[in-house]
Amino acid sequence: MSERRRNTERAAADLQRESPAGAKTHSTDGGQSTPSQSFTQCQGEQTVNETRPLPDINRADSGTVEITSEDDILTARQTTRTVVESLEFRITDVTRTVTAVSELARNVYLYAGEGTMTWYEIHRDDRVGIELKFEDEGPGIQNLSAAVSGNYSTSHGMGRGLEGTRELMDTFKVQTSEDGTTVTVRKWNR
Amino acid sequence: MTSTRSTSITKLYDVLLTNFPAEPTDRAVDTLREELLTLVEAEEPRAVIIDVSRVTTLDSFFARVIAETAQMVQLLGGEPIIVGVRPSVAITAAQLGYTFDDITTARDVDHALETVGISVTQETQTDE
Repeated sequence: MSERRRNTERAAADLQRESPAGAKTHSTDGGQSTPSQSFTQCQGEQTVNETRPLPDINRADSGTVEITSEDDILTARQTTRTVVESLEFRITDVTRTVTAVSELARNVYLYAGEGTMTWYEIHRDDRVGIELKFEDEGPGIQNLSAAVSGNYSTSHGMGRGLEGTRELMDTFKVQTSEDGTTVTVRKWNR
Repeated sequence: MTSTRSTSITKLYDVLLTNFPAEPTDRAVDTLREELLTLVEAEEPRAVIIDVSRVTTLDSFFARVIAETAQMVQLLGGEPIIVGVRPSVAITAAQLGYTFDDITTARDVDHALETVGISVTQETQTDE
């Protein structure tokens, strides 16, 4: 994982700037530090480094998929497909949602090793949708605004994983720090 | 993960035809690519048809694998043809900005065979 090593080196630079105590740590497993960052986009409107909550919704059914292996990316996709099909999403929105889930589940597996995907059936007014929350305790995303704008690429995909996900979903929120990353996305049936 | 193993490669005249599975694991996709390239080297086909009509999710990883596989087929001297992209997949791929530059695409396998000069001619029959 050269990407992870690069993250660590950058993290070490951040540590020296932000925390003199932490700067002594140069190990590749313990000394990572990512400044807490967040990014929110809600139906076109977007904010970086703001931690305001997403609009309120009512949650109904929910479920969790543990992501601990590559095969769990498939499980996450299949679970999501079943849920959004039961919510009668049209085929294009099923494909958009499942594609976004595939990207996010793969990110969890590749960069954090393990994490969870939790899905909720959501309601607001007379609309129904799905909310998906991806949580991991990995090293965090070093440069969040670059990652969500597509100017940041690893060797694993076409370099548009997070940005692409943002395009496909109605609501997109990332919170990342040295303690891990949470990505929350929503898609409404229309 | 039984549903992910149903990959297949068929030889039709001097054309190889491969089906990408509907919901593959990353590993299944890697395996299929290796098998395909080994066969391309052995059979020296004129064209390689990559049928993605069963693919319902084309995320950045699969998109990269398909684009790379096509490039590798080109490097080995064959002509790659991607067929059967579903409309919902095409919409999503376009929205994500995936491009398959310099790769021939076709509506279906028949159309792909026609583009490399293979077609079936049938004696006119009257069924009535």
